[in-house]
Amino acid sequence: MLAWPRQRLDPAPQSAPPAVTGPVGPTSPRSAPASAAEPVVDGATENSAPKPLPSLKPHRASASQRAADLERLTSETDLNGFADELRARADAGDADAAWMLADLLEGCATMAEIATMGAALTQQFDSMRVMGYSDQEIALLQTSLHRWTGRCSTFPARSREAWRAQISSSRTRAAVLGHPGAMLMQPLPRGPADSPAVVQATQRARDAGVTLLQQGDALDLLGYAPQLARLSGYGTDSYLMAACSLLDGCLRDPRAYALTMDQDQFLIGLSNSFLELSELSPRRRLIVEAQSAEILRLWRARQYEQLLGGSGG
Amino acid sequence: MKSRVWLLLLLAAVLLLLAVGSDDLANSLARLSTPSVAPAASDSSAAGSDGRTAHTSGNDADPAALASSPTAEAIEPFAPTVAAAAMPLLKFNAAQARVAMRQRWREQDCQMARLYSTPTFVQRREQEWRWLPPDLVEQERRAVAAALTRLTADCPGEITDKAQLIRRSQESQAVLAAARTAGDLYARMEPARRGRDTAELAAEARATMYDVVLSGDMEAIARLGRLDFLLQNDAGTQSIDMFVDGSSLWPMVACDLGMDCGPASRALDQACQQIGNGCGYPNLEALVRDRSPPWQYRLTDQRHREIVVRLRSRWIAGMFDPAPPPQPPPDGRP
Repeated sequence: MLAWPRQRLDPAPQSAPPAVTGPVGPTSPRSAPASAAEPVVDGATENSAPKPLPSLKPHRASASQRAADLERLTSETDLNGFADELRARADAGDADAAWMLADLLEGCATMAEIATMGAALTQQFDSMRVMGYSDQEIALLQTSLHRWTGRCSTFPARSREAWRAQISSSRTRAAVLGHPGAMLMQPLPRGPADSPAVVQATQRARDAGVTLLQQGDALDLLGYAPQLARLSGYGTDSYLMAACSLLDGCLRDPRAYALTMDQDQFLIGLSNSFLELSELSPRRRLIVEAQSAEILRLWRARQYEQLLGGSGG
Repeated sequence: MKSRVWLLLLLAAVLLLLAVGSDDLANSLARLSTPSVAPAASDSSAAGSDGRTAHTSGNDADPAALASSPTAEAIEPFAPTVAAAAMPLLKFNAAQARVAMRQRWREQDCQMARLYSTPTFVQRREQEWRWLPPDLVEQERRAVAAALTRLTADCPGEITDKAQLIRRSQESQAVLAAARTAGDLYARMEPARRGRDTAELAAEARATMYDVVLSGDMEAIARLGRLDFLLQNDAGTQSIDMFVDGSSLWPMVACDLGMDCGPASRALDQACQQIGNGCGYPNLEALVRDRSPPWQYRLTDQRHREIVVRLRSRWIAGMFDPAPPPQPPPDGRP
């Protein structure tokens, strides 16, 4: 069995999504956080300790900037240099830059680990064959892996702990700067569900989820599916199916869609989640389809509070 | 980043299979629902006459007692020790051991039926029903109620008193220990685990599995999943059996060999009670097919057919040796 680091399902930065066939979502720029917390500078610079920044103004990147960032993520040959640029922007208060930096670092940290897996990776692919993946499908994944491992090689080698520290630092910064995805993914405190701390944290997460959904990006239903599911009671797979329904060509064959899309977006890994949709039991599929239909209805009607209000359970 | 999501999903699926694999799902749920109850010594050696204390690990905890536990936290941690010291040693002959084990299994089934009737599980089932077609829900609602009535028809009253519960758990463990000592096959299917390494356990499990299939006892064969899990635990390498639905494999084998798995059968009633499963199917195989990812059903069905062929042809030698590494299906995607 693989000794694979258990990680959360991370959101990806906003992208210029593939043909969205769903509703015409809101086109306004994403809402800025209502009140940015006091910036906490974590010193996300690659090899240095945290250092305070004097005047940091939290803000969101423009939609065009985010699209450009995503494009660079898939085409930039010097990802380490790109990370430096994102870091500088995050230092200046750009929440999206901090979030994308975390995504970039986490993606390349994973590639670094995969590069050391050796026989375990082969075994993983063998497992996929047992689960019905064809040689061609596995070859697609291997190609993506190979490509991205090479692209990430511009990062200097470092320990797993060092990767983790930098990723965590950048994620924390993104949350502090008001990135709704980062705020949505903040872990809830431990304790009874009705304890004040948990109730408050859940409400904060719900507010962040609403802000996120207000962006009208179908890929957010995909990228934040586990977090949205946690808040709403709909299943994670139901959010995945809702997102898949909004992407041209996905629902027909989620697995093929995922594997093809991954050629370009492997590092941010969005579409990989769709693989799960090809593995639903008949009974589960009935439930997922029904929940997905309700998610889409509420999403299209922009009833985000209701969507995250727990009615799904 | 989700570049690793597909790997994680696969890993999670595999781990889930391992976790639930050959252990009965209901018993897994029982353990999960009452994780810290400390009912009794787990075997005769641990609860010996020297009065040595022995707290039961989660693995050795008695599922029936666990399932009937009001709350794990409510039980005094030292009470079982006192009770264990007071428990007289039992001695069974073969017939008595079998009667006692049948009663034990029956009590376990009753506890599981009660567990699935608790508000938590009822609520979960209602949540599922909210998303299913109304006619299907109506059919399932009737089937669940009928199954529950059948399953609990001759069950003893539920124990709610804490002290009595502990006492009952002690008795249950003492009965199991005595039945093991008597060499009862059913008792051997619940090997004592504490203090034993996986290789030793696997060797014992393997020997017991051969004896079970040779016995032709359908009920015992249907319960072989737990022992199968012990074998896989010991294998150390990935095998095809890790991907099979371990909680369904051996019941399906028993069905093919003649165990009643049709409407109103105990096998189908028990499976239908489990959360995530539907009810009202014509047989167990239909239930398993509906609740499994297609690729997994295909593997499970293939494996169960292989086993049935071997059992019918009495080609038993070596059948519980370590399984070969997984191979891709001959025609690609299921």
